[in-house]
Amino acid sequence: MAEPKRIPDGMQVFSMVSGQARIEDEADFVIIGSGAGGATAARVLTDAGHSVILVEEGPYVPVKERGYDVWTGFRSSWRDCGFQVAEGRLFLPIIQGMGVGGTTTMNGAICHRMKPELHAEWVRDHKLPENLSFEEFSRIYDRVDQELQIAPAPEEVLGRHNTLLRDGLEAIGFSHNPIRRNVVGCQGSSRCIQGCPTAAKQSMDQTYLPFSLRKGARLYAECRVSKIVRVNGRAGLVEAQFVSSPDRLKGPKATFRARRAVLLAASAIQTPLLLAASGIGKESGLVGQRFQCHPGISLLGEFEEPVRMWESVTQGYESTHLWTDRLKFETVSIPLDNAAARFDGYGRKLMENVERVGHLACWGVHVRSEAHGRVYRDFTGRTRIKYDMTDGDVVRLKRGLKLMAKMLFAAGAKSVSPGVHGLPKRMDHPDQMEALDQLDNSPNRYHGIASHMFGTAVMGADRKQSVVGFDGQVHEMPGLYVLDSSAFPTNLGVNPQNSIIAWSWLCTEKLA
Amino acid sequence: MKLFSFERRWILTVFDATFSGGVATLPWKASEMRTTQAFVTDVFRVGPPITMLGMRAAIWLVYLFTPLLAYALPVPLGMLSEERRSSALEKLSMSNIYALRELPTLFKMMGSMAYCASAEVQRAVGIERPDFRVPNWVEETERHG
Repeated sequence: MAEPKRIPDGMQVFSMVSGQARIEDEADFVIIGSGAGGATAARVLTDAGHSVILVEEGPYVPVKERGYDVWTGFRSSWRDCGFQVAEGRLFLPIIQGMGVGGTTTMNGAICHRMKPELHAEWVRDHKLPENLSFEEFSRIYDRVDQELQIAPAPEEVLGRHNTLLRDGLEAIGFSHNPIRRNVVGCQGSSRCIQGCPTAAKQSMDQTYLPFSLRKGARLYAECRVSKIVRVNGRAGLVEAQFVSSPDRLKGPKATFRARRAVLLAASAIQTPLLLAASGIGKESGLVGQRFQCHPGISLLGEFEEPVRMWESVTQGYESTHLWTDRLKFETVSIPLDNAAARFDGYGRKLMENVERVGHLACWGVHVRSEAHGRVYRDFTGRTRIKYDMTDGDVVRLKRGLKLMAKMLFAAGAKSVSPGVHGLPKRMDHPDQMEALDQLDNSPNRYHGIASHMFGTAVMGADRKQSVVGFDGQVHEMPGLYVLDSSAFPTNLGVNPQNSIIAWSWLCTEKLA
Repeated sequence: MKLFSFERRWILTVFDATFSGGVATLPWKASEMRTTQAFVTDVFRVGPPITMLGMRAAIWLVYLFTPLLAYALPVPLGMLSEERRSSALEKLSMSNIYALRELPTLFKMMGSMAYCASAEVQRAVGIERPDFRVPNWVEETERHG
């Protein structure tokens, strides 16, 4: 069998252009970002016969170059090699993909629809119009379900890790379900975060991007956009430069001319930075503000029986039973080379925990937090994310931890490792978690991560109180559209991939 | 960013104090493993410069001041016995000062990506992968230094 080509037709990467003086290209639409928002826009527009250029800051990582180890994934496909953090009382790692396909390549393949209650909240509080009705979102969700083959994780790949959570949830009387995922033939190798080794995950690099490239789209990877420029009063030009990954070598500068529109889908962190660099945000003062995310923490439980997290779907089971209370529970099968950082002890004690990894379960709770942060560039040009959980967020996390401890013990765990400063390292009974109530609400007692970013270029009708309109168009720059979760008025409480796809689809089909 | 050789030694000492110690199935010393040695070079080469600058400052703090902070001993970490190095890190990780207790955690996080990435360690705890091989970044680092 012939060796698959490393770089697909239509894509250019740093090594292919590094000798050139300058790259120039022109199309109907220039799309910045190739994740859920950008790839969907390309899919819709190329299908309608438009010419499209996609510009992606991160590299293209072919499936055969994905490794089993975490660092291979981090250094190639995670922003800042996995070291991105939000600064507050707690330094909170923010996980985000950076590469062709964006975060869809390294997420847990979890597909959720926006909750109808949340949509109703957006209609009530943010005056979402009829063209963004729940039915409209559902029309796209239905279509995407088919195209990305979204289905509940099947029993045969759940593994013991996921079925234990089911047991625990059942025991405490919570509703539960196998996670709906965009995969075909998932083998349960528990390597979602390193990038699926079998291309089972229907991430954008496997679906909408190849579709768009076949339809004539051109994709420039390892190409960092610096500014969007007006031409005749409209967004018309994108200035960029090729920068190699992960070495950060500078390559040729590039300009991409858009005949119809520039579509920005660079994430709720990079989108506001680009807007600000392009002189946008003076009217509302909201560019980069109102940053929201889903902070999450995990609990480790040790079982007598083998759990073997690595023989299961990375995230295969969940409960949104307490979604209205802003909590969501799920399995998180982290690879050993990531999980060991969460194990207790140093030296011999740590090694004993590493040795027992086959008996550990790792479950997470994430909070639909109330806190708002902000994203900006400091005077050195460095991206800064300021974010601090509120007391209410921490109280919810505590509740989530206590419930998870109950679930773990109910499922048969013999001990639980809370990883909370101020609590014992190991607990043998769920009641011991009640000690959490005695602790203050300082977020830095916990080791968490945050995922799913929102709100930094919020949508609305009033240009003084929002950055983009309900069609995604930036109030201050006609012809520029924001197609990612920056435009969302609040966080979702569930994984946003499909809602980003739906938002992008709804905006771009009007342009097509 | 390139480290001085003594800084490199200090990091490897901290990794050893974190990932070591008398467990029969995991006999490898972190500092002697290919993945660990390559990781230290690679992470400082490709990691975000400002973060790596922070890591560099952190290694000075951890190596030079952990014994002082943990046991009021004004000696560097390398002067303690191996067992005491681990307990000093453990003690620091329990500090009530957030910035201090995060220092050893930072190195545990880095060390786990290096030590636990090795196929030997993963096999020893029962993880079997059809594509276990030396990660690309190890070979790349060994080629280019």
